[in-house]
Amino acid sequence: MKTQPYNNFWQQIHDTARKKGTLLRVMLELTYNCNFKCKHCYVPQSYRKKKGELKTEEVFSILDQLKQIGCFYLGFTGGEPFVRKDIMDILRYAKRCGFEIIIYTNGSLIDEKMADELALLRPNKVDITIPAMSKDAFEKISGVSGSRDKVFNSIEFLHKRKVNLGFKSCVLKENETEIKEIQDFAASLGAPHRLDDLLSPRLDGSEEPYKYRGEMIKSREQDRPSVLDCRLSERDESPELITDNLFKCGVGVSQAAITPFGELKMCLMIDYPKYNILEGCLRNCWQRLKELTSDIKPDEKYQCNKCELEPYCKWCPAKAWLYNKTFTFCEPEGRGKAEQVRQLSNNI
Amino acid sequence: MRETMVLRKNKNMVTRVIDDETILLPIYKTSDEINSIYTLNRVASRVWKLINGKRTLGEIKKQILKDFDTIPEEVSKEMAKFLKDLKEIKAVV
Repeated sequence: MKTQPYNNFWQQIHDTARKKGTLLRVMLELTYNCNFKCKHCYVPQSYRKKKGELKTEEVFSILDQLKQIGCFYLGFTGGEPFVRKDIMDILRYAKRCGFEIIIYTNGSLIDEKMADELALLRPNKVDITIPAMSKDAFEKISGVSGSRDKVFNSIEFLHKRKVNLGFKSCVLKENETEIKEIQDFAASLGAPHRLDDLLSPRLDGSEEPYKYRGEMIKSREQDRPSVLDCRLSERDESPELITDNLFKCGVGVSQAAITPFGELKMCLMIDYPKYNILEGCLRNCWQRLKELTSDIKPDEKYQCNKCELEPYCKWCPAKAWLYNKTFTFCEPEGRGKAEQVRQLSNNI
Repeated sequence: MRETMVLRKNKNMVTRVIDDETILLPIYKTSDEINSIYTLNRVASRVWKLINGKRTLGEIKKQILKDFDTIPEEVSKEMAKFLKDLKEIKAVV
């Protein structure tokens, strides 16, 4: 028996999955419901009222099928996954199936009992969104009074139990001066922190979230190098630019997402097409999604391979899709943000 | 390695075959285990499959000798090492 460092193993199976077209990594949206009311969220309010989200047994059935076709990494997300009463049953089942899991959450609903079990189940990461450090900014963003204390209490429960944590934040008007403090907090717990300075339009195409977007340039001058580093370092997670495949992230090659209604789709942000797993079977849905994705090629609208802003840009086909329902268009919001980041980078 | 010994798998150890490689995943990991993964070679993978709470280690050894082109001394050595590893990570009881 060989004990391998996790990252080596990950790299090895990731490379093979890409070659063979194995669905290795799935983001599973367990619900669109959420106990927070963040105005910048990409999930439209109308989605939260939709009926027919997956029942526990249906989630289990999908997990069984994912296991059968070789999936290994599951990201549980929402909405807020912990609003589901059966969340711990689902996590336990996923671990019993032999998945490695990451949970994306606002953290506010994790109590000490759940933290105890999470400490046993040891997800690869509990990834918590920290909107701000100050109570005032935090609760303006979440729209829920008392939410800051709940989230920081949960973080303490989990950290005490040595659960692997990660944090992320969106740069918003309310928190643009607090980003460095969030980074410092994450560092004090030895946890990574990711930064989204672009935001996404909503799944229904509404660009309202852009209204709430903040500017990294508004961070204190002495904090800017660190804030910028965090923004640029995220690119290191992506593989090198592959010119004949638009989906650098692996969508349609080794990665996909599943909606709270049991539909397989490309990623969280691309809501079309959706293949109903409960009506068909996952293997067939994945085959159809792979074929569709492989037909999407760079066309005359695709500019990244000759764009000088590319090193600063977070463009992906999902951004184009949400902008004008194409997969190759250079959408202006992302381009504008890339220009700002280049300027900020040159000034430091 | 006592050949009359019978081992049972720990129910909290999950087996997956990913990319033709057999891996063992503890459902409840220790904090030391979080950044590592246990992978089995072909012989170890077959031994693991044969452990069922009924077969003796002697029977498993005989089966391995049938399945692989190897000699008894090699199998004994490899099995002893593998079983020690399994006990260390509490994969068998």
